[in-house]
Amino acid sequence: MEVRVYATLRPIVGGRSVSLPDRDGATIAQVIDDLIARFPALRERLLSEAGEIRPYVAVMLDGRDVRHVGGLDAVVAAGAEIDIFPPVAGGA
Amino acid sequence: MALGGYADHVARVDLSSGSVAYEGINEEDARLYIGARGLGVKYVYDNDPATDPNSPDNLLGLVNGPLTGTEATMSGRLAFVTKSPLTGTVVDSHMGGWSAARLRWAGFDALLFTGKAEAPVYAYVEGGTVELRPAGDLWGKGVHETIAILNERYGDNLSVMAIGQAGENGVLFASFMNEDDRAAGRGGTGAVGGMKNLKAVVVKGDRSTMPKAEDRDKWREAHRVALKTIIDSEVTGPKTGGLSVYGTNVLTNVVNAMGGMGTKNSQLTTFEGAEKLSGETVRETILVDEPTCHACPVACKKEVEITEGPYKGLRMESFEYEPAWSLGANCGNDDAGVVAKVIDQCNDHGMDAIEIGNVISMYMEASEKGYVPGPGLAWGDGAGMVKLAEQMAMREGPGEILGLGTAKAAEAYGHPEIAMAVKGQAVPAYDPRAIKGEGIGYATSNRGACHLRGYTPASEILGIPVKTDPLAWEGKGALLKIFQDLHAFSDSLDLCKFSAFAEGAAEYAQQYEAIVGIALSEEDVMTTGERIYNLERRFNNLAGFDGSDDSLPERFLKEPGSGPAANSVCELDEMKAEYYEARGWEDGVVPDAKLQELSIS
Repeated sequence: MEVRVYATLRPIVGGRSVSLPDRDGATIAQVIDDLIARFPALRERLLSEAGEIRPYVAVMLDGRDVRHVGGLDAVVAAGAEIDIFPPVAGGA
Repeated sequence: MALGGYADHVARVDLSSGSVAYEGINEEDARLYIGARGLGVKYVYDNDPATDPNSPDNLLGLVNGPLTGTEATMSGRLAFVTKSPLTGTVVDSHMGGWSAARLRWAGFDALLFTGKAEAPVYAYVEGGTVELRPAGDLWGKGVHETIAILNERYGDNLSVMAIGQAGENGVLFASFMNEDDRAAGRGGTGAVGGMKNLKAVVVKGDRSTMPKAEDRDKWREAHRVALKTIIDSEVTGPKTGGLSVYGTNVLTNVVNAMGGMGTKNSQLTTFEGAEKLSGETVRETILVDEPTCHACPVACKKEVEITEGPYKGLRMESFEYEPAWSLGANCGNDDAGVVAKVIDQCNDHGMDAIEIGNVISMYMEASEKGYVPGPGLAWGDGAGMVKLAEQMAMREGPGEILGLGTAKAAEAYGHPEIAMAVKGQAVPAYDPRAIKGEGIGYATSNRGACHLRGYTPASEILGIPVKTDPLAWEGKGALLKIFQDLHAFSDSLDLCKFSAFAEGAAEYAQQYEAIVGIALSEEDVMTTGERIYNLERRFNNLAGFDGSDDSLPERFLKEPGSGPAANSVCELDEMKAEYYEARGWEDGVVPDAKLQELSIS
C-alpha cells in the first residue's frame, strides 16, 4: 500500500509517498499507526494527544477527508488511495 | 475628523480638465464603511451605478483602509474600485507589495479619478499632492519597462502602479500592476485606466511618515495578539506553515486529490499533471527567492527561475495557485515553464491571469469542437498559449475577440455554454462540483465569479472555523454569508485575506479600535461587513442585476466531475434558497427594509 504525503510532511518521510505492507481490511487508524511506526516524528504532526486526527490535518481516503466517511474507523479497501496533508491553504 | 488612523486626505483628479481637488474623509461614511473596499464601493456607488463603465464618467478609485501602511501585520493592501467593464458590476480588486503603504505614507487615504485625459498621463504622488504628468513616452510600453523608466526617473522609495498594453488596447480583463509582479487582477481595472489615458500612478513615500496609533499601549497589545495568531498558525507560521513554505500553490495537490481541479475547461475535475505544477515541486526545482509585502512575516510570494526549455532563464515572482491552475490543468498543460511564461506576459502586459487561462481553455474547447475558424489551439499547446496571450494583449488575430474575456468571446463564437464564467467573469480554481461552497460563492459574488468574496475552502478543506463536508450542500448558504461578511470587513481595513487563516473578528476589532479609536464588538464587525456586502449588491441591483444573474455555467449543474467528484454536480438552487434566506434578500435583490436596517442610503 502506498500512502502519499504532501507539503511539510515530505521532508519527514524523505519522499512523496511511503510504502506500507498491505493489510486488507485495515482501518485508517491502523494505517496511521503503521506510518507512525516507520516515522515517529509524524505522530505529533498528525494526531492529538487523545489520538484523534489533529485539527486542519486532512487524511483522505479515495479523495474524501476521512472525517466525513467514518473517521479513524474507516476501512481501507484493497486498491484504495490514501493522501495525507498537513494544514494547507492559500487563495491567490 | 475625530477618527484616528485616516490621513483625512483624498484627491479627486479630473483627468478631462487636469484639475486636482482635495477633500477630507466623510466621517459618517468612514464609520459605516471603514475604508478600502467598503469606502471605495461607497465612492463608486455615489458616482452613479448606472454609469457606463467604458465612459469617462466611470470613477476609478485607489482606496486605502485605516490600517493600510501602519505597523499592522499584513497591512500592505489597497483596493482599486470602479464599475467593471468586464462584468458591469461594482468591483474592488486588491494588491499587495508596498504601493498601498507608500500611498498612505505620501499622505493619502484615496485617489479618485474621473474623466479622460486628452493624451496619456501618469499621476505623480508625493507629500500630499498629486500632479498629472505626460506619459506619451510610456504609452505602448509594457509594465516592466514602464516601471524601470519611472524608477530611473524618480529614484528610491518609489512604487509604480501601471497598466500595460492590454489596458491601453481595451482588453476587458486588463489589470493594474504593481512592482512588476503584483496585480489588482480581477474585473478589468486596467481597461478603465486605459480608457482614461491613465498609464500609471507613481507614489513616492517612505516609512518615516508611517502613521502610528496614538494609544501606544492599546496598539501594542492589539498588534501582539494579532501577530501571535499569525506566527502560531500552522498555515501562516513563518517558515513553518504550509502557506509560508510553499506559497498559495500548496493547494494544487490537495484540491486535485479531492477532485476539485477543473481540467480542460472544467470537462474533468482531476489532472494527472498536478504534481508537476504543485508548490512542492516548484520549491524542489525552480524556487529562487521568497519576497514579501509590507509588514508581512509570512512571505507567501515564491520567486522562480525556469531552468530548462524555451523559457530558460525567465525569473518571476507570482507562480501562484490560481494561474498554476488556470494555465495548467485548465488548459491541459503540465509544463511549469509555460505557466511561468504566460503569467509573466500577464504581468508585463497587465492582464488577469485567472481570466486569461479560462479564455485560452474556452478557445481550446471551441477549437476541439470546431466552433472557431482555422485550426485553433490544441490542449496543452504551450507555444500556442504564449502566442495567444500576446495576441490578446495586442488585440491581434483571434486576440481581437478573446480580449473581450471568456464570456463575451464564447458568446461571439455562438457557444456561450463553454464559457466557465459568472456575470461575465471567469471562475477560479475550485470546482464547485467538489467544493460546493464555492458554487454558491461564485454565483452570488458581487463582482462576478470569485473565490475571495467568501473563502469557504477554509472550512471545506481546512476546517476554519469548523470542518464542513465539501461535497455536501446543506448549510453552505449560511456559511458563505459569514465568510463574505468577515472578508468584506478585513478588505476594508485593508488587511490581506490570508490573515483570516489565523485572525478573526476579535483580532480585527481590536486592531481597528486601537488605530481608529472606536470600540467594535465582534458582532459589529460582522454587521459592518454585511452592510458593505449589501451596498455592493444594492449597486448591482441598480445596475440591473437580480437573482437570475446569480447563476453558474450549466456544466457545473448537469455534468458530473471526475475522480472523487465523479458522481457530483453542484446543487445551486438549493444553496441559493438557503443563502437568500440568510441574507434576507428577495430573488437576489436587497429589499428596502434591509437597506434601512443596515443604514444604507
